[in-house]
Amino acid sequence: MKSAPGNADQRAEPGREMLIEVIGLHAQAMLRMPWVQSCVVLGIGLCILSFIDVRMFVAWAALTIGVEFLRARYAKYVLLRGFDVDPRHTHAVFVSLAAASGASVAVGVVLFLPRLPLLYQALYGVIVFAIPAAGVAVAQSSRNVLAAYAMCILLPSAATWGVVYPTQAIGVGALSILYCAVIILVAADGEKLLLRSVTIRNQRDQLVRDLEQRNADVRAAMGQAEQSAKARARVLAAASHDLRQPLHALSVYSAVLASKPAPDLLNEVSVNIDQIVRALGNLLNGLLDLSRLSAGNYVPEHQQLTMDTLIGGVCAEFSQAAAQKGLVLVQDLKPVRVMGDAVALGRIARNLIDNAIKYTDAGQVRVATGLDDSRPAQQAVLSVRDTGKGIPAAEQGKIFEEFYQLDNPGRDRGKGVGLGLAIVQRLCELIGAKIQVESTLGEGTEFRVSMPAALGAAVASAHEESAANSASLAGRRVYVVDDERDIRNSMRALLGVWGVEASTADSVKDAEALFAQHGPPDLLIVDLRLADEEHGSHLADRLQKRHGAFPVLIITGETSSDALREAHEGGYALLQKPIAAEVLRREIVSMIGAS
Amino acid sequence: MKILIVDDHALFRAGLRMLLATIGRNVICLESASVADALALIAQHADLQLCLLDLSLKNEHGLGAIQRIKQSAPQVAVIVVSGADDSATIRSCIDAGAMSFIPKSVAPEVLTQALQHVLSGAVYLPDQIMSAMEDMPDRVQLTPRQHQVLRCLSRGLPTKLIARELDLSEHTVKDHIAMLFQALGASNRTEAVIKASQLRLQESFAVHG
Repeated sequence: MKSAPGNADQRAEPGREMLIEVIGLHAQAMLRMPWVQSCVVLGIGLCILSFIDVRMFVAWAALTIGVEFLRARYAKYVLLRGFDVDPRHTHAVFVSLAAASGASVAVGVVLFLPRLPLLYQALYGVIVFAIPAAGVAVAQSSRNVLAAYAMCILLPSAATWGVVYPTQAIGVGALSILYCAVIILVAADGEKLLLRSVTIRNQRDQLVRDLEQRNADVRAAMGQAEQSAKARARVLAAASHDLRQPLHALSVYSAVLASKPAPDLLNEVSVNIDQIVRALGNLLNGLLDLSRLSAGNYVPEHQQLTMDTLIGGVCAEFSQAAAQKGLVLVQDLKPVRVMGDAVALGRIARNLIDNAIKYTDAGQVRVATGLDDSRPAQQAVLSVRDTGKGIPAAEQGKIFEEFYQLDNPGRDRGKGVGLGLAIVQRLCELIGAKIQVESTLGEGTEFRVSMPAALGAAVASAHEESAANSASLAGRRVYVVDDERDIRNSMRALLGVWGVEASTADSVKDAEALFAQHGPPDLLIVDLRLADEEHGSHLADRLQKRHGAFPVLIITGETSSDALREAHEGGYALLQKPIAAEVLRREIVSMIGAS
Repeated sequence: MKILIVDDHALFRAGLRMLLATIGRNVICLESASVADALALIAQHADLQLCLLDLSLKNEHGLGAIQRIKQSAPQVAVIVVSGADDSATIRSCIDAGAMSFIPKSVAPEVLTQALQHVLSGAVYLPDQIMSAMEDMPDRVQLTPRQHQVLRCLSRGLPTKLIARELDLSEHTVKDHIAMLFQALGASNRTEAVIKASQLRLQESFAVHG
């Protein structure tokens, strides 16, 4: 009896669901009504048939049973339609049908009651007045259905009785109305009960759904944790393989050198060692970048920058590499301003262009910036498109994984280390950009990085970037404090090349002496960990207190997130060893500018 | 002496080539990055004596490569030079017909030593596989004939080729092998090769080359 329409719409408001419930129950009851009505007609016929015209009775019986068949037919239709019915409309039809059914009973009273002897009038009256009471069960807690049914029977019947016996008109009328009211109240109570049970059922369903949802959430979280653990294991395995390979090769060259090779071999040895060390350095730097990006240490800046100028600068770095491979590096840079991090965006562009050049043998690499107006929020777009061999659709999801390399199962280091796109993806996440890849085999690949554009997009851009590169550092005074002699020597040599007046100190005492003798420098470069447990940024703090403020650059070989955070807390600029010359230069220029 | 180096890391190959040229006399090195190229080179150079083989090659594992090389050229002694160094891998390489195993992770001076061993025709295996076999008789007295048979076995020669090389009948060679196993306390070729590396048999390839 629990009819399906009750579950039609799980989020339905209780009223609507209640209506659906009532309709379902009522329709079920309706199916039996023709047979019930036939019995009633038969009973009435037995009582009164001897006093009235048979044809008249048959016509009435046909009418009232016909109405019940109509009701049953409609109920069947509703039950078959199940979820599709509009509950309000259906309910209204049921109310009308109930009224018709009641009226058909009342027609009998109007026709037959005046023609009967008193005793049979009373008997007929009892039967007719009992019918609405039975209707309570049939109406199934719908006040409206019951009210229509009861009133359509009782009011014409009471009126007929009043016409036949005018002296009783008031009494019968009043009693009928009272009777009507009572059975409608009873139906209302049933309605409340039904509403409560429907509510309880709703709550139960909701609980079950919540529970299922939570289970699904837990499963998803577990799956994700498992996946990230797997990814970490994969990175570790790939990294250890890729780190060991160059180490093994270095070990061979070390054996070659130890066994006193012929002098003409030495040149080849040194070239090869240089290649291996470079590859190893690239790999370590890539891993370092990845770990920095993952450890959450990198806080992207949010400053307005002109994307086209920035990307133009990056393109300039690659013009030679492209020319060497015989590729045309096409620049289509429309002015775009974005809010973002210049370092991250530059690195994204660098890695994408580097990849494009690496995987393209002939044709062109096209770098474009521009605006995409197709979406409501205007997007700044960086696109790097090549005419390389393309990426198979099945591989496109994997290319952002660490150490994944297309067509390089032998992990030939000449093709890079396989970290470039992984870094690009992390950086995009960090600066809130989206990266998409579109590729056709044999035709080429396009990477599109899109991020929200800054308002007032196109403004002719300044040339801060190129200014930084050509800035002169000649005559600036820089102190280098590091307890490793090699670092001090190489720093002094490097700074000397740039015309910087560099002084070095290997200990706290030395550094203090340097300050006492020559005063504060234009820049202090200090190692994070000095000998005797001394901390570079603490030393800088003390010296600044004594000698006034001066720029400080901390360098460190540490990679643990704790050490890095510690260094950041001092508020000083930080570079991680090994430091490439151009990186150091850029940093120094940005800190103390050109003289 | 002609040596083939099979490794997919070009810089490692170059390093091995230079090292071999420095420590060996009249060494001619051929190089290949894949098993297919290696097999082609072996077919071209009938006088090839040694093959230094990496286990992790592009798309293929070196174990299968050992078998393929031994099938097409049983006279070539296969020396595995691998990043792996676990006993199971070493054993399965010898099972497959390799003569020696040099882990890439050894110290530079050990690498030089190992290659010198291998160039002199001796078996080289890392220490850990030998310490796993302690039941070595203190003194093993082998007849000159048994020495010869052990060397041939170590190089991974099948009985038929041993017989041809020593100018004996196959039946006699089988008898020698049985006696040799008994003397060494070995039950199969792999164990005999391990014993041979413990004995550090110093014989020159040139004698048989």
